[in-house]
Amino acid sequence: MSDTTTSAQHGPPHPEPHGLNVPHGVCALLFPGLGHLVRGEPRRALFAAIGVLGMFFGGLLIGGVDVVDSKEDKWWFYGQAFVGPLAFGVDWYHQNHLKAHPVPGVPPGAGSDASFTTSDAQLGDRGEHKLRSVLPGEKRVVTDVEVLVGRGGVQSTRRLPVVVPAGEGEGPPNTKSLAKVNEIGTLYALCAGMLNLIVVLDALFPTLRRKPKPAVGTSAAASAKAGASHG
Amino acid sequence: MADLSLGMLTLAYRPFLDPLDLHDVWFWLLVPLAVLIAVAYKAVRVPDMGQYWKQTALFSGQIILGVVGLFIAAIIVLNYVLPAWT
Repeated sequence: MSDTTTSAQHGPPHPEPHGLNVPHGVCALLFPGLGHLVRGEPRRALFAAIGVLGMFFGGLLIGGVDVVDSKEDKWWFYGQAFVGPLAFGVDWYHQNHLKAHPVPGVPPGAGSDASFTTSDAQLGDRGEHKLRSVLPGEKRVVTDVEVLVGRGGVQSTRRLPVVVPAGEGEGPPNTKSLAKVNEIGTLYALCAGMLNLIVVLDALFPTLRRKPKPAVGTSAAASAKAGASHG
Repeated sequence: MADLSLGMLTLAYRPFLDPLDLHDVWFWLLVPLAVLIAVAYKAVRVPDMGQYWKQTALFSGQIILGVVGLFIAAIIVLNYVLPAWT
């Protein structure tokens, strides 16, 4: 407030010069609030972490892990990614431990195992056997899949997660959220990323925030006012 | 098929893997969202941490009032302005 009083007398306010503290910015990006903790502001760090992590895990709780998906909801994930490695870790788990390839398989016959055949082109991001969420009535199993590689069709065997029909009492490893619950969960995680971006910027440019100077600021403003009235 | 559906219905809720069934009360989720936004934002923006909780409560209220205001504005536009205009 003292800045405003002084600037009102001497022209428009000028932003304080700010520094650049890369290590604190990097720490803030690694984990919400870590930059402020390293800077010696544990209370700010704690509240920033509670806010950001509360929103991120709140979103996961409301909409399930489905709300963090760099493949199917990539534009949302670009915002969520500002939460840091945590968001990438959740997305990695989602992609690699919950999704599966919808490779059509021959059911196991008498004395033989199920067989699955596809090609590397079909397994790619634009192929019809690309990774997708496992739906109700299906389950995820990791099994040997015959993959035809390249145009020559060189055959190789890979262990891949595939989608198969679920039996009684079985189901998908996670449930896709729908409608408003999915939207709100995604919004929570997105807001977590956006707020953490503000926290990171505050750690990166530490003096952008007005510094607390209650005693000095108040007395300076009071003396400036007194001086103005006497003059 | 009936057995399969019954089996699926009896699967237990798994936190963070399955969504919560909050479709009927989704709008109430905006309240904790507003509070958490205020908690994180004011943690790095408030100059004096002695004012933190007051500022957080004020900002939470402003966000909620803003969203409610947008809701009312949308209702007015959709139900009154647009029908009169078209």
